[in-house]
Amino acid sequence: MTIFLDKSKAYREKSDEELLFFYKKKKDTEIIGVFYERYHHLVFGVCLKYFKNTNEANEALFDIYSSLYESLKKYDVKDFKKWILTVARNHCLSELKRKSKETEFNPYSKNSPKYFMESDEEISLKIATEQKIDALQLALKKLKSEQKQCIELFFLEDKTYAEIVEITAFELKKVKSYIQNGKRNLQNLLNNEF
Amino acid sequence: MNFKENKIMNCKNKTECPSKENFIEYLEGKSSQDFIISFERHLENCELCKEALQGYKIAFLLDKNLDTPKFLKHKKKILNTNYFIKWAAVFTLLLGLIFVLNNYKKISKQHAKSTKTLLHKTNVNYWYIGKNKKIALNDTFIKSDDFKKALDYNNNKKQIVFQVESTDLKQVESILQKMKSKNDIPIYTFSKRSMF
Repeated sequence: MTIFLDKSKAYREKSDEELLFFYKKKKDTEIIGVFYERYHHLVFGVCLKYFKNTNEANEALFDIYSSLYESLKKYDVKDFKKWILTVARNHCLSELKRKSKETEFNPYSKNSPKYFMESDEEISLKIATEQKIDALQLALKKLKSEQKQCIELFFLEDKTYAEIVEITAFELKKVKSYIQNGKRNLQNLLNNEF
Repeated sequence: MNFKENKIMNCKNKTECPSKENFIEYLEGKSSQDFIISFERHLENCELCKEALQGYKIAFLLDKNLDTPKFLKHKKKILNTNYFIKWAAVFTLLLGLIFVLNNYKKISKQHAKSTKTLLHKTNVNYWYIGKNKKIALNDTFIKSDDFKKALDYNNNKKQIVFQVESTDLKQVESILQKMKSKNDIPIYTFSKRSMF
């Protein structure tokens, strides 16, 4: 047990490049664990961007890290961060493509109860998401103009605080407060809505 | 100023990318100006973090309570709790653990009864792989000898719900592959691990 912990601790001290080198040499699966510790929250965020729900992002994260055992042996990876981003993007896109194909050419007949069950789930999830987006858009219109502007820039247009300061000419402090208050007001509006 | 100088880098690991806690601080906008500047400077040079942040922003908007995504927030709550509460919680957990161990058989029987009723109604087979790599099917632990039989058990073609708490991804992957080869029905995987 102590040896196990020591080994893991030793790996944590290493840089990505060193870990890649050791994995090529020793094929020690502990190294994948260290990569997981370092970057799983980032890879998960990337998966969220594509799937827009935590369950599918969770599954994708699991698949991506499972595939690392073999792919890191195969490829000569120089920069792990750049490489894992590409792997994550490709995985998400191919999964989305596969899923859309499955919906188009469903092998189950329409009489099958399974067919209906799965479609219902998917449809209700899509409807819930669409309703949420509609409600958000309505609620956004009711916010004060500064709050609306900052929330839209930060969350919808994916701007950073610095970019918002530049666009709006508000002080950073103000931007932070508009976003915080806007979030709170949006939440209140949405709670009243439902 | 970078994350290293600002002492807000992911200290547990040797990486300059922000930790989960850093992302929460940034998304909640309650952090200092210096922090925001260094965080955004990092984003300029790190595509991985930039794209992850986009994902978190989407998750925030689609969250029921318009809150920082729970998978990020969970750990922060624990970190913010003061030491007294932490130790009190550990002590209570230990007491609870002793109680559970003492009454293990009793509790597991009751649990199995209640979830079996649920499983019957929802028509799924519920597989579970624990942190200790133990495997259970519908709340009954399976010995390694019985594992093959259990895989053939799905005669009724029930859908499979597969909960994974083990960190041994190789073991999990091999079980999943075996399942997929034996069944042509959907397998839904999920995990409650503290990764999110």
